[in-house]
Amino acid sequence: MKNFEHYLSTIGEYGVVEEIHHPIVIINGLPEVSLNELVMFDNGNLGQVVSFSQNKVQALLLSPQPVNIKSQAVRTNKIISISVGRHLLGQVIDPQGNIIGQAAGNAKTSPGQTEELSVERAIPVISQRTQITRQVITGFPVIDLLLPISHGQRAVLIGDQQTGKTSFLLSAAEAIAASGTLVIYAAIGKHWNDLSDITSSLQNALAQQGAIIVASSSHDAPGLINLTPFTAMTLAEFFRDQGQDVFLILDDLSTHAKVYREISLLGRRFPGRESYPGDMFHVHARLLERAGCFIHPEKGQATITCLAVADTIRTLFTPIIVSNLISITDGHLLFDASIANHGRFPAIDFTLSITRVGKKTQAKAVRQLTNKISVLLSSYLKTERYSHLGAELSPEVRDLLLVGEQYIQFISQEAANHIPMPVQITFAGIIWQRWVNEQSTTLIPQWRDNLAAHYLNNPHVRSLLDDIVSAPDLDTLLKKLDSSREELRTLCRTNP
Amino acid sequence: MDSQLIQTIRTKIEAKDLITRLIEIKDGLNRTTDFDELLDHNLNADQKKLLVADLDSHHVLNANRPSLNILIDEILLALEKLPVFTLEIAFHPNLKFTRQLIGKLSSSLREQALLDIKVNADIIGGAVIQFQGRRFDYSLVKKFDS
Repeated sequence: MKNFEHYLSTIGEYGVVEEIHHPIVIINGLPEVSLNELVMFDNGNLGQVVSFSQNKVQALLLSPQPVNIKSQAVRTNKIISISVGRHLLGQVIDPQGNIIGQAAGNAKTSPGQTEELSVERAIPVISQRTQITRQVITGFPVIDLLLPISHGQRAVLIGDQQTGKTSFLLSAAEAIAASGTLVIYAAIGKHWNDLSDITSSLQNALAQQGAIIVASSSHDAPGLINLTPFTAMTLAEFFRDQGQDVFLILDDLSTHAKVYREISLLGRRFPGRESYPGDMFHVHARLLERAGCFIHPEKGQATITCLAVADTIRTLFTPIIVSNLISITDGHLLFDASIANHGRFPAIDFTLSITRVGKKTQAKAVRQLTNKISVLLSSYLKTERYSHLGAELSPEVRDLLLVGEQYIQFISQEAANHIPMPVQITFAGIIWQRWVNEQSTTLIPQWRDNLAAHYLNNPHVRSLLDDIVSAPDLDTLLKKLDSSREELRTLCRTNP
Repeated sequence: MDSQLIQTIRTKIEAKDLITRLIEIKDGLNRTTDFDELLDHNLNADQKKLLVADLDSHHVLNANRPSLNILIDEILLALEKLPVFTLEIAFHPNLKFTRQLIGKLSSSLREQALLDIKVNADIIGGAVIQFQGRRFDYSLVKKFDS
């Protein structure tokens, strides 16, 4: 950006600050200003035009430093844009695209070719999009088997505070970055402590240039916090255009909505439901519609998978922001406080969570198996509520309770423990075949992890499991499992 | 706001001076009951006459203190909102030049505006004008640069 005098002399328009409702500034003048244009104040601060009438212009300050009444502002003839390039890989940046801290162990790369991209870009039309075909592997069976997410899907993670949403996302992000997908993490209005935790959790991905963090702290100007998800999406679009798959995390859009509400109310816009402005839905829809699965001229397809986070209170998802996001996205994952309080991780309530498109990307055999598991778990949860009454249980109900409990054990895991997909499918099949007896139920996590370790370290086990999961349908998969029963049993029981 | 006193103000310096005086009068209302003396102390004879006429036309001349306060606030606000015509020149203008300029400005502008003359030797000659959100650079330095 040039200085104030430059814009005053070249564009020749100015305005005078008449009122300040921090961060909104009312300016008199700037006769030919346009919406979203950047204005510069005489102290060097920047603002973004959010609305205007015949004589008055409303600008949103983008820095925490105040401006004074009677100070001058000039047009810049620019809308907010960021300089993007491969030099941002592995960096922590602010919403204006400036590198704010170099991740530990990350060697700085040369800027190379950079592009100046506007943060407000047109939503790609249907002809630029293509059908989703590939699944995102998070390493969590509850997601990968029961609630699969696909490359190009948009989903929202909802749940109360302290239910493990961010921990889950950070852990999944590590696994996804390791698979070659670029992770962009937008930390929206977070405390500096939380930002520090996020950076250290993604340290490996940052060091390998597989992640970028776009961070705004709660102390930043509301204008900057408001900008954070748009900057992250613009970055994602840049790398998508380069043919890269991007996994974008927006943590969280509840904070973004609150900041947008604050800005709107100070700008005297009419409040609607829960005092949010009337265009709240449009703001989030316009943002999330920029994600998806797109046609790429060289690579066939390039995707932006977007996971947004929204906070709930007492697991209610009727508040406007949560219900808006549910209706915008292709699925939601509900994190339940009562599940988290039972010590289960991830605390996802799979009965109330939905994935609208993810199942299409699963192989036929896996889809058949997971459909059966979903039905079984649903029956298990209903039956389990009444089982403690002590009535005599039929053999079928006892079997249901046993297998249901085994699947619950199977999908509960440590945050940093990523299970390879073939292991997930094989182990789900092992439980389905009733190979685990009642006494061994508590050993399931250990057996699962043993099998995963064998898979990662032993090429023979790798080819065995890969062969099993390549079965075209469920019957063949179960037959293949049966034929390797003794070997699998041994592998599960031995720690490599 | 319809005010005879405001209509006599032609420059930004005059406006600032009047604002200071009106604030003094407003503060003085809390200290003294002699309004006439307060006006004599802060305004010249012409200004006093015009302010009294304004108060009279708004029916607050003999009214209570809060009504006077409100009207003075309205005059202050109107003064603050007057548009400013900024003229940047390379020399210090004499009184005759300034008066001629004020006369020209009053006759050519459709609305009342305050003249604000700034001296900037860097422009060498000519003038830079700022008015109603636009800047017009007729300086010699710009001509040389281009």
